[in-house]
Amino acid sequence: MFIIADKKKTELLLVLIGFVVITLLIEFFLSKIETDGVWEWALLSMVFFLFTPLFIVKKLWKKTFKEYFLSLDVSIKAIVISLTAVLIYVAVMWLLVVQLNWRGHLTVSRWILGSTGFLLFVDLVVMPFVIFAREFFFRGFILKSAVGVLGMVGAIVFQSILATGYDVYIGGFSDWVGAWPQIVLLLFFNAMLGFVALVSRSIIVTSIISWAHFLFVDLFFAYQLSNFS
Amino acid sequence: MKKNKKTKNSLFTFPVILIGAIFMFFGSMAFAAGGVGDGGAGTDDEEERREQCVITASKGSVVDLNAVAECMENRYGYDKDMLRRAKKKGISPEIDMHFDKTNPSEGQEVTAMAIGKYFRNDIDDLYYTWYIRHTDAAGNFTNTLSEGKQEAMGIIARGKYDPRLFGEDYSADTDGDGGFGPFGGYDGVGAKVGWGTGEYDDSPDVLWDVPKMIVASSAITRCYAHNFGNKFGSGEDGNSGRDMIIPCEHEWPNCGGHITGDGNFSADEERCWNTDPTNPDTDGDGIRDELDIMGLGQQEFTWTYRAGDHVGVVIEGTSLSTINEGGMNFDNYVDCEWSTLASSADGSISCGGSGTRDEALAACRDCLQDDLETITEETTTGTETSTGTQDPVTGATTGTTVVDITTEGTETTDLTEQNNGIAAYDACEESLQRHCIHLDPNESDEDILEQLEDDGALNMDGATNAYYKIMWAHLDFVGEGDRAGFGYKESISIDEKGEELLEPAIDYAPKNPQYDSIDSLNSDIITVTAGVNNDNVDEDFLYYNWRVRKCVADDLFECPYEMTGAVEWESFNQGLGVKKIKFIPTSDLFESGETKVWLKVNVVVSQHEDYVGGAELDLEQDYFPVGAIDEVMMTVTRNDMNLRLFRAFNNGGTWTVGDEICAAGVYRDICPLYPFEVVAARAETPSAEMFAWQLNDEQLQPPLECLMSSGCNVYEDTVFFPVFGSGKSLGTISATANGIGNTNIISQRIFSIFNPVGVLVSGSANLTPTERYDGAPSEFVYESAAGETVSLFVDSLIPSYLDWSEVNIQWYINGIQAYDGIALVPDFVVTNPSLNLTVSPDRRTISFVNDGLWGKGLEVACRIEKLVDSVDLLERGWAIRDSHTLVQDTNVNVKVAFDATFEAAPIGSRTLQKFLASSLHNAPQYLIFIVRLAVAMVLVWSILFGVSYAVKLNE
Repeated sequence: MFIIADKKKTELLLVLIGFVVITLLIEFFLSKIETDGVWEWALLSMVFFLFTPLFIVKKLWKKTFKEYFLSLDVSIKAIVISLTAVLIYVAVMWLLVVQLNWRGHLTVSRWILGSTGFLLFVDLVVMPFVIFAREFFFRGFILKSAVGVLGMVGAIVFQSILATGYDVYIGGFSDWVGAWPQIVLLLFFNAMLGFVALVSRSIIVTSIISWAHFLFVDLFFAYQLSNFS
Repeated sequence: MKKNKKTKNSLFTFPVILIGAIFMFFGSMAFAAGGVGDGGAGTDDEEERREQCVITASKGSVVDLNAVAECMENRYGYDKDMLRRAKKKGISPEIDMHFDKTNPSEGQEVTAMAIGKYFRNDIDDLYYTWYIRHTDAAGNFTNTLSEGKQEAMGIIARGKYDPRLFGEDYSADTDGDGGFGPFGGYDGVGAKVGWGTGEYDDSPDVLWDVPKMIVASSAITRCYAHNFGNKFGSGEDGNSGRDMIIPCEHEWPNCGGHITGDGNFSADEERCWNTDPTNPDTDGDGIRDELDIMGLGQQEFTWTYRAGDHVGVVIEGTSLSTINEGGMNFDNYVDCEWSTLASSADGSISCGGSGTRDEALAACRDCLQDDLETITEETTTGTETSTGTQDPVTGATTGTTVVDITTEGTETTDLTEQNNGIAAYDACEESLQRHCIHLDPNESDEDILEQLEDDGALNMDGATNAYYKIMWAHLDFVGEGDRAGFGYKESISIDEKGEELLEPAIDYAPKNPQYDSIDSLNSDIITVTAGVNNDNVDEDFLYYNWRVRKCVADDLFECPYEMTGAVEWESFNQGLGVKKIKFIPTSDLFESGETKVWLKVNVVVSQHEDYVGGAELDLEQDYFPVGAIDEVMMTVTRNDMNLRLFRAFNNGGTWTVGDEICAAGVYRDICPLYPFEVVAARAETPSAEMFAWQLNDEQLQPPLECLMSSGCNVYEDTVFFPVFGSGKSLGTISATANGIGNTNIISQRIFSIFNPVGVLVSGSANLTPTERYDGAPSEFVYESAAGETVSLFVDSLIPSYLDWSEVNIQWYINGIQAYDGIALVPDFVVTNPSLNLTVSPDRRTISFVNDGLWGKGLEVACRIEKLVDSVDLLERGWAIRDSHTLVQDTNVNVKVAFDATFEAAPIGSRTLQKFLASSLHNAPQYLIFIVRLAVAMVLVWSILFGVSYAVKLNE
C-alpha cells in the first residue's frame, strides 16, 4: 500500500493506466472479430470510453459527471468562443487540406466505400454514440484529470497526444514517419476539441463539432467517390 | 609410571624425615657427617656410610638434615623439583573450527567459530588471528596470507561500519582506542629475548641443569613451537613431542606501516583499517578497535561468502605446558673464567680468548671493527665564535665558545664488515655466557657453582621459576620436510569435497524384465535409477554416463557386448542430471535360440563432465577420486507366450470359445470389453504347459459350476472369465508360465470396461466438424449453414466386434427422444415439424434441418442399448444374479455456422440491407462478443478499482 501525496497527480496516473489498458483491450478485441466491425466498434467505444470512466468517476472518485464536462449547461459566451475556435480550425484546415493538398491525409471512415445508405446508417445511427463516448473519455475524463496537474495548455496538449496516439495505434499505421501530415491534422483537431471543451465545459459541444466534422468528411469523400466512379 | 614414581618418592621421603626427627629429638643419634663428632676429619667407615646414606646414632650427636636430603637426592635421584619436572610435559594447544553453514551460496553470510583447546587463559584473553584466502577457479590462492589477515581482522574490527557512508575524512582520532597486548594472551606474562631460539627446550645445549632439566634463563624466550611429529615421513622422528624455543612474534596483521598492538591507534591507522576514529569500539562488541585487530577474544568471524573462500585462524595464548628456568645472573657475575673463540660466517673475522669473563669478553670485542663507533652518517660544517679573555702568562682562557653547526648531507657507508664483526662478537659472547661455568676442567661444577653462589652471581633456585609456555595453536601441522611437525597457517574451505568419493547406488525395475517376442510393444520398459549416498550432494547436478552390456552366459564377469545401441532408449543415457534411464529390450539382445540373457548396466557418476568417461574409462586413472561407478546385473527373458482373447458364446448352456477379439491394432494394447461379458483367454507357448492365471492381479478362481467347453481347470492354457466393473475402468488378465529355467515368463492383456457405445460422424457433406483449440477437428461439435438439412451417422460400435444386431439404437434431440429404435416418436415429430426428421432403416443415420439460432445449436444424442446375454449361465458360474441392460449415449452439438457472406463481399457492393441481414444472421456471434466484452469491462474496472484503492483515491 502506498500513498502519493498529490492526489491530482495520482488521479492522472490512474487515468494514464486506464488509457493504456483500454487501448490494448480494444486492439485485442478488434483483432478477434470476424464481422465488418460496425457493431463491435460501437460496443467497444461505449463500454470502454463511456461506461468505464463513468464508473470510475461515480463509484471510485465519488464525483459528479458535470465536473467532467458531461453537461448541457453552456453559456452564450462559451458558444461564441467555441465557434470562433471552430472557424479558426476550419480556416487552418482549409489552408492545410486545400492549399497544401493534404486531402489524402484526412481521416475517413472505411464505410464510404459501401452504399450511401450503408454510410448514412453508420454515420447517423452508429457514429453519434461512438463520438459521444470518445468525447467523454478524451475531452472529459482525461482532459479534466490533466488540467489540475498540467495546467490548461498542458492538459490540451496531453489529451490531444493521447487521442492522436490512440487513433494512430488502432488505425494500424505502419509508417509513422510517412504519416506525419495525418498525425499533425489529428493533433490539431484534437487540440481544438480540447480547447472548446475547456471553454464550454461541455462535451456535448465537442461531440457535435466532432460528429459534424466526420460526417462532413465522410460525405465529402463519398461524394467525390461517386463522381469518380 | 610417573604416578608410581611420585608415590615412591613420597613414601620414601616421609620415613627419612621421621627417623631424622626422632634421632634429633633424643639426641642419641650420630650421622656420619663431617665436622660433627670428630672435627670434620671423618673416617673411612663414615665416608662409606655417607655414600650409602647409612645413619648411625649416638647420644649427643647432631643430625644434618641437609646432608641427609643431599644423600638421598644423590643416591635416589629425587629432589624437591622432581614434581615440577614431572609436570613439565603438557598438552599442546589445538583448534577446533566449525562453520554455521556447510553449503552456503554466494553472498550469504557465513560464521566460522574457533575453539582454542589446552590454553591456560580464559577464552576471552586469547588472540585469534583470522585470515581469509580467496581462490580462483583452479583453486589457486588469489591473495596473500598477509592480505587475508588484513581483510579478516578488518572485518572483525569494523563490523558493518562503512566510513564512506559517514563521509569520514580521518582528520583526527579522538576515540583513544589503542591497545597493548602482552605475549601469551591478554593476561599473559610477556616474553623476553633468549639466545636459545631454534633449540628444543630439553636439549642439553640450553639446559642449565641437565639432571634437573632446568633450562637456562638466558636461553629461552618463553615462546615455543610444539613438534607434533612427522605426518607423512617414514623415517625416525626423534623430535616428535618436543617444544622448540622460538622468537616471540605476534601473528597480528599490520596496516599501512603501523604496528598493531603498540598502543597507538592513530587516525591514519584507523583510515587504513576503515574503522571509526570517533568510536573506540567501531563494531560494538565491547572490545576496542586495536584490540579487535589483535583478535582479542574474537572466537567468531563472520564474512560474506564467495565461491572458493578458505578461512583459517591462529590462536596465541599461554599453554598448559610448564617449564622450569634457572641459571646464573650474568649481570652480577664477577669471576667466571672461560676460553672462547668465534668467527664470522665467511671466516674473515675471528676473535676470542681466555680468562675471566671480563677478559674473555674483552677478547670478543676484537671482532668489532675499530671504526664501529666512529662511523658517522653525517658531515657537518659550521662556524665557531669565541668570546672571552686569555691569560697572557698561562695562556688559559675564560669565556664561551658558540659553535653553529649545520647538517648538510649524508654519507653512505658499507657496513658489511662491521656487521660480520658484530655477528662474530655475539657468537663469542654467547659462548661465554653458555659455558663459562664449565671453564676449569680441574674443578668440579659444584665447586664453581658454590663459588659463584658465594659471589651472589647465581640464582641457584631455578626450579622456583616455573611458568607456562607461550604457544600458538594452528589448524594443522606440516606433514613433511624441514618444518615437519610444526603448525602452519592452514585455511579450510567450507564445502571442500574434492577428495570425497561419490557413492552411487543403482536400482532397477521391474525385477524380471521381459522381451515380448510376439509383440515387442508389450516388452517391459526397464527403468534403472542411480542414487548417490553422499550427504550434501545434489544428484541433479551430477554427470551420469550409462552403459548397457550383455554378458557371457557362463561367465558373468565377462560382459563384452556393448548393447547401448541395441536397446530402444526411452530416455537420455548420458548428461547432467540423467540419474534415471529407461530402455526397452529388443530382439537384438537375443541370439538364435537364446531365451534369457544377462545384462550389466553400469553408470559412471562425476561432479564434472570430463570424468564420467567413455569407452576407454580406466578406474586406475587419476580421475578416479572424482568419478565413481556402480553397476547392476539383471536378466532379461525372451517371452514367446502369446496371450489371445476370444469372445465366449452360449452354446446350449456351455461357454464355448468364439472369434478372436482385439488381435491387432490399438485394441491389442487395450481391448475394449463391456460389463458382464464373458471372455476366453488362451496362452500359447511351446515352452510351458501349466499356467497360473491372474485376473486384475488376483489369482483367477475356478467357476462355481463348470460350464466351459474346454474344462474348468484354471491351470490350463484356456480359461473363461466374466468382466466386472463399470465406468471406464481398466482390468488385466495375465498368465504366468514357469517354462524357461527358473524364470517365470508373464504375458498380460489389458482391457477397458465400458458400455457399448456408438461413434458418431457427419453423415452429410454440409455438416462439418468445428475446429478445436489445437486446430484439430472436433468430435463433438459440428456446424452447417442455417436451414440446411444435415445428417449424423453411427460409424461404428465400441467394442467393434459387436454386431449391429446385438444392440438397440435410439436417437434423442435436445434431450427428447425422437426415435425409439423402431420408429420416430410421434409427439416429437408433431412438436418439431421444422426439423423434418428422418432415420434410415438401418437406424444408423439421422437427418434433420439445422435451424439452430442464437448460438445454442441442437444437442443430438445416439443411445446404444445392449442387453446382457446368458444371465442364467452367469449366475450359475459366477453368482451374477442381476439382469442388466447397458446404456450409453454419444452426444454431439450441431450449430449454425457464422455467415461471412457480407464480409467476404466486395466493399463496394455492401448495402444497408445486406448489412442488416448479416447482422441478424450473425447475432449469436455478437452475443458472444458482448459477453466477452462484459468480462473485459469487469476486468478493467477491477484493475482500476484496485489501483485506486491502493493509492487511496477512493477514500
